[in-house]
Amino acid sequence: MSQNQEDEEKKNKDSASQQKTAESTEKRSDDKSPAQPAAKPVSRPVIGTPIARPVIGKPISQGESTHATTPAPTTPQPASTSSQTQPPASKPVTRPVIGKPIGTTVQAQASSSAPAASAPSAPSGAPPVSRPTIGRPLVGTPTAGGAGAPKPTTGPPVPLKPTTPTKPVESKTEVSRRNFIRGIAIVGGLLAAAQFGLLGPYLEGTVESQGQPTQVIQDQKTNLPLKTTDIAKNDWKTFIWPRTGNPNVDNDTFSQCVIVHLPSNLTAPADLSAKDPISGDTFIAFSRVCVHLWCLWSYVPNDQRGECPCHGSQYVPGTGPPWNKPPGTAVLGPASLQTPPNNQLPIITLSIAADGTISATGMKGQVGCGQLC
Amino acid sequence: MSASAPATQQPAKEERIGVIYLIKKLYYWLVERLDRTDLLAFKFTVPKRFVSPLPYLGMLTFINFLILGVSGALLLLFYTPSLSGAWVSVQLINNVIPYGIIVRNIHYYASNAMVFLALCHMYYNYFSGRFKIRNEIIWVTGIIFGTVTVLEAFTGYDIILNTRAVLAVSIGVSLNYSAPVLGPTLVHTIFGRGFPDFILRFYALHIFILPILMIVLTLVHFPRYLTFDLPIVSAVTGAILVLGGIYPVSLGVQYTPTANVGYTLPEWYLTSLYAFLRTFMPKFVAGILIPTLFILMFMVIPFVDKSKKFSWKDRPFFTALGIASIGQILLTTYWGFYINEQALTPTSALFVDPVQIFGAMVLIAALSFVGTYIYLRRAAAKSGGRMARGKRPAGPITFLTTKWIIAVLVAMFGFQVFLNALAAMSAFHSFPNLTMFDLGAVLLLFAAMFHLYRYSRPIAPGQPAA
Repeated sequence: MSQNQEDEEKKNKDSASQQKTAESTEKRSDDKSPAQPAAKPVSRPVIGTPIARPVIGKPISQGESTHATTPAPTTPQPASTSSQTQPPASKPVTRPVIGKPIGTTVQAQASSSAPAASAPSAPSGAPPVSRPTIGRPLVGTPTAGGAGAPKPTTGPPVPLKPTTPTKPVESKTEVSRRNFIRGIAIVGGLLAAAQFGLLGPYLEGTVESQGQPTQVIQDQKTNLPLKTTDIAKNDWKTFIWPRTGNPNVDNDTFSQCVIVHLPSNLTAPADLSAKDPISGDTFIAFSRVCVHLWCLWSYVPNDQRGECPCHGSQYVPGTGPPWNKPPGTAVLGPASLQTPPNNQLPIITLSIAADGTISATGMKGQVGCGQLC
Repeated sequence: MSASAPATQQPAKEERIGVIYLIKKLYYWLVERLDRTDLLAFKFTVPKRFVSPLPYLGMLTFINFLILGVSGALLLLFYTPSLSGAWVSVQLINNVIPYGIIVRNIHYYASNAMVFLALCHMYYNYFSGRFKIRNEIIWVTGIIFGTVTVLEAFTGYDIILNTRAVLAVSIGVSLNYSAPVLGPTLVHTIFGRGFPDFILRFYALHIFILPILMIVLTLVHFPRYLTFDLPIVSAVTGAILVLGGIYPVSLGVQYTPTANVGYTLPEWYLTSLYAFLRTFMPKFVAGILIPTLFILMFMVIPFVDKSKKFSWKDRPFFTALGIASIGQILLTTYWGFYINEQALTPTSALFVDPVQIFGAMVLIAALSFVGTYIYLRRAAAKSGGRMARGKRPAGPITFLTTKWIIAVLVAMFGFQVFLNALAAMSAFHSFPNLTMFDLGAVLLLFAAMFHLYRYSRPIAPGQPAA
């Protein structure tokens, strides 16, 4: 192998392993990063007054807060020095406080009493638009540092002090400006997002309800009214009910129904079926949608059962041996194992005129759910 | 020209004239400006030699996604999303519109290829431990991506609206409906009320909502390093066309309300689900809970397998788990296909005995798990703990001399020309299958030629011989 070839081979290998090496270098640089947390500026200026970010749990005294006018130290700190263990003197942290500071420690209140006397509190009841009280000692809040959710009013109640006598209501619910704005922003955002709840009804649409009209049922192949003489004994036909004449609606599986001319060995209750005045035989109609997973079943005369091709559910069209179940009940397959309202086909009630013309008059149950839904 | 040329001094003087120079200039102009976009943030590798396609199966999946986008856009021009018009419009595309059958077959087989390649892609990254090197987000979005891909394929074969599609839509919607508490609300919100709505919503999902979701997922899922290998892409595309030529996808039976429906199978990536539904377990458990648990199992893998070892050989437990899961997929997929059509009733024909299938699943899982685990443990003991091999020395195959390589290339080129002519002729005489097959063969031939060319490069004329 020539040198040229070897070089090329190496290049290919290199490109294949490029990802790994790139990632390992990234990792190396990442490993260093925890060692210099203080490199992040811990304060940021606000117009006029420099405001530093709070440090959890450490009250800062009044005198030290003047350091906040200079940028916070950006020299790298040792990795072990976390923000909690940092001495207060090295990190002057203040921020504007509306009204009273949220106190979590006893020292905090002790140190805050002096400046509070000189800084009058915000007007009571007004939204916190008051000026920041610079130099207010900051007392750590659990959400300080910006990581947690804003909790504007969760600070423990601060007892009324003689220095703030003009605040009867706000004395117990004091909020820093930042947290207040944050809270307002989040609540406002939620309210704005709530408008999209209107999409729910939009997505659900409306049912163009055809109701349950009494309609003469038609043969789907010839579109002529279906008569009892058209269906042989133990035979079946499909029909559409309710019928609109629009194929885009009528082809819906939920409009598909089946009428069965019951054989002599099966019976059905009079309120669910109809007697043919000509032959005296019983006719009964069902929704064609299987109550298991909504496939379309077909009647199989040899078995005297309606059978679903998807998962094998079987229904009896009438009561009689060997099953002795009410008409439309699933006797085999997954639909038969479903809990009772979901194991019977919805029934279309029929009426038959003297000349044998069949009309659908209504439905017992809900398509896709069951007879008793 | 000379007036505008002095701005760029890089090309030599003799190159500063002619079309080549202009093209080069345009190229650099484009690249410098594209550098400001996200496009060049990806680092493309075009391997000069054959490298195993396994590490960039994801790229091949994406290529299929692009093919699907283009062919889908073409199908969109003639498709009608309505209950009475959908099948008729697909029939029109298939039988009447010139080249419609080719576009449709490309779309169908590319969708199958995409699902299959996505599955292979997942398993490769599973076994090679690629999800470890801080690729957890890529892995999790990949699992979501795969699920969305299957849903996209499912909505695709539903909107043809043959009898199978209608049953599939019914099953999909009613499975959603069976979800506890939220089911009916979810169905009405996502799918609407009744079939006219279902079809339009499936259509909207298939052509817009899910693809947009996939593109967004692509932005997160794509790593920065991509490999694009032209001959492999060409071979995959060729295979899609060849399959379309040999087994053109059928239209199915048009759905009419009077149609008497027979036994119907879903596509291969859903037959495992079908097997579970046929055990007559509660539909929510079989249709939603079991697949969701299976997907979740893969999703949490990077948070469970946290060892520093990458190779499948060094991770016996997870390798065994992966092999066992493949065993489950194969078993349930096969079982879903199996229907005893000689049975007297559909119930007995379709019933899958839960004792049998779950027994077989447990058996297969145990066998593959224990077998893999024991094999890897023993092999590890033999090799002293660590099995993963280092780099293998690779060299080009130079079993042919330059003369012969040129001869073979010329012969292949001639065959390509012949096949192209044949494809044109069969298109003219409307034999779309032959056209598809020939076009696929041309692409495969091109892949082979490219492959041969890059292996023979060092000993081709003008190059230093080996």
